[in-house]
Amino acid sequence: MIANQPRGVGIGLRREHFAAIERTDRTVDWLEIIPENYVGHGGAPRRHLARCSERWPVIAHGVSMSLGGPDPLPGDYVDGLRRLLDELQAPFYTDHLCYATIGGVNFYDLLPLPFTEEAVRHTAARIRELQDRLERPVAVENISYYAVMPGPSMSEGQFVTAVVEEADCGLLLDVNNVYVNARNHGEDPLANLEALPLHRTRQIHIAGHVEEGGRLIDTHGRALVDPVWELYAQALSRVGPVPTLLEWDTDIPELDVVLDEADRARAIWKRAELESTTPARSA
Amino acid sequence: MSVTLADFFSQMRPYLQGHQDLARTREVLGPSPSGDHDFSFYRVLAERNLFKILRELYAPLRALVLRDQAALWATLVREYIAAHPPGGRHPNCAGEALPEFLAARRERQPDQPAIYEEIADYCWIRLQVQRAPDDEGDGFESRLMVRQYSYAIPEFVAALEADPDAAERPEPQPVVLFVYRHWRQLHACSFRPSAAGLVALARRQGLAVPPALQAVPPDHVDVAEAQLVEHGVLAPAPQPLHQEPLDQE
Repeated sequence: MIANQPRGVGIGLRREHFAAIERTDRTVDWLEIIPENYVGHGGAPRRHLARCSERWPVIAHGVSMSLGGPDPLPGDYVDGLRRLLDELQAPFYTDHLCYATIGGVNFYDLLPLPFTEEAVRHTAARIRELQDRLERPVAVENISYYAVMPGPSMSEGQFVTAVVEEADCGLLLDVNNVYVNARNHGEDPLANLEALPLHRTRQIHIAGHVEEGGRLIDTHGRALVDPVWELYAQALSRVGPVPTLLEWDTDIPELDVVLDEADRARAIWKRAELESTTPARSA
Repeated sequence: MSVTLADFFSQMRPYLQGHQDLARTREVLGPSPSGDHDFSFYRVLAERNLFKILRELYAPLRALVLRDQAALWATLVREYIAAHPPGGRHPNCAGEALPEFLAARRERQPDQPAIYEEIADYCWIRLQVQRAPDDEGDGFESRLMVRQYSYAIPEFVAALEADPDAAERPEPQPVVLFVYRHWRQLHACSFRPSAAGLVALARRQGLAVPPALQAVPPDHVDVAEAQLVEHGVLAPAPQPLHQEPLDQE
């Protein structure tokens, strides 16, 4: 299989932009899809995806695998997902370090696990199983969480690190989530960033959020705030020029607005790329 | 307090579904270090997600209900969620049973308008035909659904989507309808077939023509089939391969 490796700054392929993105002559380095919208479905979305995948690398970012959940990984869906990833020649697959389903009931949200050793072992085993079944590496995203679940025995950073190390998988570093979590829990964003297993970063997400009732909510529905841009630059300085996705999933504006944000990210990304290839000057 | 993952999930499911209160959940799991206010936000999110999914799936129905009986929408959604816990992988699956739920509810509450369930059904199947798999032969079966409604539902839905306040509720008028994905352009459409159109569809599907339609003349069926092709209901019939006779030595 020829891997279709993403590089630079990508955006999410959203149905609101199907027509516009096929016409655009602006820079789009790569695309990310939500595979749940394509596996087992046909029609116009599949046709648009096929056209886009001829032009750009496409990475699939799942939202429903419930990697930390109690229900078995879904056989038919995983098989369909693997076929889709093969079609896209996707070098890896990403999903979330969370649960979404309990006993067949789906909450359609990315719900936080308790930060415990048992949850580490349980989730890491399922990530390994998924990597085997998809026949490619998996990277998991640090989610935004609005409450620490009862009975924790470690911090979020320790939990994410333990899962990723035990699963031997990648990290999808969501910089906005680091910021949102730090703000909501009264912590230092940079310290929380550094507590994550950054050496395993395979991809980065950046996005906007909203404030509601004194709480930051990770909505992906507006432009990034300056502190998140700054944290993104800090992240790149630590992990190097990792492919970055600008997420915009709610209140989706015109494509050009999303691409303007992606351009801003790309300027930061290119600086990081330059720094990573420039030999350090001796004193 | 040491809590197993099994305990955690066994408590979180009823809590998030609204079937168990915070006090009982905290009693078993212990308190969240973030406090009750933050912990309970997840229950708010769980319900909010389902309201959002149903709002987007059934926007014309919601607009009508809010216009005519504003408080009813939230009641309908909560009753529906309780009766049909969401289980499908895609968020849209959470709304799959709403038409059936509304029909059952009208049996118990006859004052509920029948048009609600017909609008819901139309919204649902319109989405289904749009996203039906491509790989079922020519994609014919699941990209086309046949319905008989009591009202001119597509027209009313279009009016609700344009301006819910101005949309006039139609008079009852039985309508047979094809709701389908245009075979080439791929968008969802509806079409009112003639009797000959129904026979043309049955013929293409290889189904027996119902006795009531057997008197339709074959040439009418041919014309109707051409119309169905023109409207994208049917793809052009495959032409038999023309084979040159092999030269015999």
